[in-house]
Amino acid sequence: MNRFSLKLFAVIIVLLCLRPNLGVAQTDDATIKGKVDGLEERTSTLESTVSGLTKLKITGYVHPQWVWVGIDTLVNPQFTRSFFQIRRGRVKFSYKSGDIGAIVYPDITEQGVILKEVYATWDFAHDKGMTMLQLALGAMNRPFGYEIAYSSSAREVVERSTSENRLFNGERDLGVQIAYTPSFGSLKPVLELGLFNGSDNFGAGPISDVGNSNANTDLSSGNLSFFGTGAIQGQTDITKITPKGADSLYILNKVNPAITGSVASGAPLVVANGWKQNAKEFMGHLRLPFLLSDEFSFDIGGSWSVGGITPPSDVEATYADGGKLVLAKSTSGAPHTFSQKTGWEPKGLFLSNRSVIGADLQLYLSVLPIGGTIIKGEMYTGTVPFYGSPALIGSGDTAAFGYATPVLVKKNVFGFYAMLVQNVTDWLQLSVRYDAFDPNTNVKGTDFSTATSASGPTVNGVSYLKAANNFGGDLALNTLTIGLNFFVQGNLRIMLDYDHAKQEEFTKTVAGTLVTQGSPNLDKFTARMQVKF
Amino acid sequence: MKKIMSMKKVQTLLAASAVFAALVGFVFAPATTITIKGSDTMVQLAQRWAEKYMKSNSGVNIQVTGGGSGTGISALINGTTDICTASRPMKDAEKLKLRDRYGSTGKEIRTAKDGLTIYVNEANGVSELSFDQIKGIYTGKIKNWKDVGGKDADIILYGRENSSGTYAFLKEVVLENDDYANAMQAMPGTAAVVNAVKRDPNGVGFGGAGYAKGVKEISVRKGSSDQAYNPSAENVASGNYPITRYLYFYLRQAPDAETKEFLKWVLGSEGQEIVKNEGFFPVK
Repeated sequence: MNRFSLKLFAVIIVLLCLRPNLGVAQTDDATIKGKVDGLEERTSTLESTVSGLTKLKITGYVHPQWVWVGIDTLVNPQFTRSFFQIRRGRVKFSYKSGDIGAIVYPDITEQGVILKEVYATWDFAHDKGMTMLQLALGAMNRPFGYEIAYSSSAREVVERSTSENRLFNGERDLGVQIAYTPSFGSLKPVLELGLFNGSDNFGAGPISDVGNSNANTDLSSGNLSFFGTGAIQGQTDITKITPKGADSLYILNKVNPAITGSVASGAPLVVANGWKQNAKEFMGHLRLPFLLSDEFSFDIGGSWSVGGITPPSDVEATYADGGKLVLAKSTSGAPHTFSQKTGWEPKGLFLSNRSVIGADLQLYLSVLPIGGTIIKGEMYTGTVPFYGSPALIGSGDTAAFGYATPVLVKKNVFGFYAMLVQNVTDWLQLSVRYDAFDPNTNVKGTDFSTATSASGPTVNGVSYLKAANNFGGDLALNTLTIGLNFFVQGNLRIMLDYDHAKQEEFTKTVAGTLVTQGSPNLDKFTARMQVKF
Repeated sequence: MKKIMSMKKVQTLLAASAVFAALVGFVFAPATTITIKGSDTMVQLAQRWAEKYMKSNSGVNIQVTGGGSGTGISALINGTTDICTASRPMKDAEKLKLRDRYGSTGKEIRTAKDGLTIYVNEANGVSELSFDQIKGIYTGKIKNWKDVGGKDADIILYGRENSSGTYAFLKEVVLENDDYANAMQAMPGTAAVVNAVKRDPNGVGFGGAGYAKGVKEISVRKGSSDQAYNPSAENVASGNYPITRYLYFYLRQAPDAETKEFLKWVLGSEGQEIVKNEGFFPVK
């Protein structure tokens, strides 16, 4: 074997040795390529799945808190106590795909789970790529004022104002809403219009507390309660300083309706649990934001709400100054006509037993070196219906009606708040709010007396008797709140709030003798930990 | 005399105490920390600014993180960053959130200009695209390179996550708020987009001009009959390049003294030189 042969032999051996390896390499390449292709497919599938998931957002916040309440001995002092509470445990599921969206928003507290919001949205008109018209259908925030839509997780004090709590309890309702957001240069107004069932908390009714009202007031013992007697109700109401029974009708002066007709026998005129405001409520809010500069901007807004109550009462009444109750009209027409019946009689949607208007203003200033300043104010006024006791109708009147007839009473309400928020550093914020609500502007605390007292005032030649001995809810309530917000981390806030609430001064006289006089106080301290996610 | 001496002693003691206190204060005084968070497009630029500034200002510590413009704006609202970097202007909804919390819609500072660049692989024959074509490509209506003058091959889309300001800017300005195609692969940063396009002969991506290394930059025309411009310094500076944007700093309110000094420096000659070095364009 020569050297060439040896070399050739060596090359053949090497090639033979390599051949299987080359084959393995090719096999490996094919395997790897297959694996890569498989991974690509899986990645593609995963991307598609993840892309779908990005359309679903889960956000929320929790509000565990400790509350101490001190109640004046002038009223029911047994409510003085402290307790732990989960005010909110919100998880919001928001789905948005193109122009279509859906919200499911449960609230989880120690008392159970309830759905606060469930609604679908459709952005059906656009301007320069931005949504201009949005339709929403379901259970959602009612478009009224500023406070309702302003999230509790952003609010600078622990609770909304008394007016909002009383007039729009629960904030949400079932209905349909259209939001119109046009753009006029730098001015971008927002107009929201909604038609709702007109019942708070999914049918519980805006005046569902009527049934609890009787226990709240006990003038005969000289006590006046801020709250209802139910344990849970009392606790929840304490945290909101929402006097229950306040909207009830136990303050009243008897009436002389000057009846000219009579009421035929018929179906009961009220439902058992108070009036159901199911004749729909039409409401809206217009907001005009003025972003003038980084340092100064303000928003102004106006709102209205008109709604009916069914079944309507055959007897409606309104208050006059001094607590006089005047029967105003019969909704059934003849033969239930009363001499006071005057003016236009609305029908259908415009049977607006409830009519509230509002105005709001928010000012934002960033001129102080310590931090920005926010000033907010809001006003509510209108006429709100309540269920009146059959006892309102005197025996002579009852005879005229044929049976004891409950009365639908309209009260004039007025409320407002003014709030100053000052950022002291990036992590500390001070807030002060003065909040007032008068559930019956025609009645003063000093109008109250007992049924056996002397006659009431005489108006237009008609003598009125003074009211029965129960009252309480018609007293105005003023609350001063001072709060500190510590923004500890991005998603953690500690809130310390002190509320001092004071009811309008009242007097009780028996047979012309003053037996009780005063302005009940309530003090409340809340320490809340808010975590957002 | 004794009294005078003792007075001197007291003065000396006081002076010594003051010096000691000053020294202690100097040694133990915590360095001022400025946090910057936001745009991934700006993260390298912000890091260069921070490194250079800290070299000449030893008492200042600047921490830079990315995450996207949207993430930075959220951090500004939540109070977890001092400065937010953003490759798009703040949206009205974000301004209102900031205002609700701090009473101010925030301070906007333009720190650099950028031509949002469309990248393709260097082997790709396509050199120019119109707004409509880019929109068609990224919304998935145009799927093959041959439809825009290239070879017969599927277009592979690379882009950014929806927290990215670049993502939002292209969507608003070129896609006219239409949704991106589901087929777009969302990359975690502009560098990742560039790397993907570099490897993929049929890939297309977008991002800041400063990142276009090893890929081909597409010249862009606004209308189909308009002249196409490449994202050169001149074209971006003059505004001829149609996808030009500013790169922003956002603050909650007027800056404190240390932050103000840093901002002054960023907008000064040294800071703007770094802008150029990083492939962006100075604002002045």
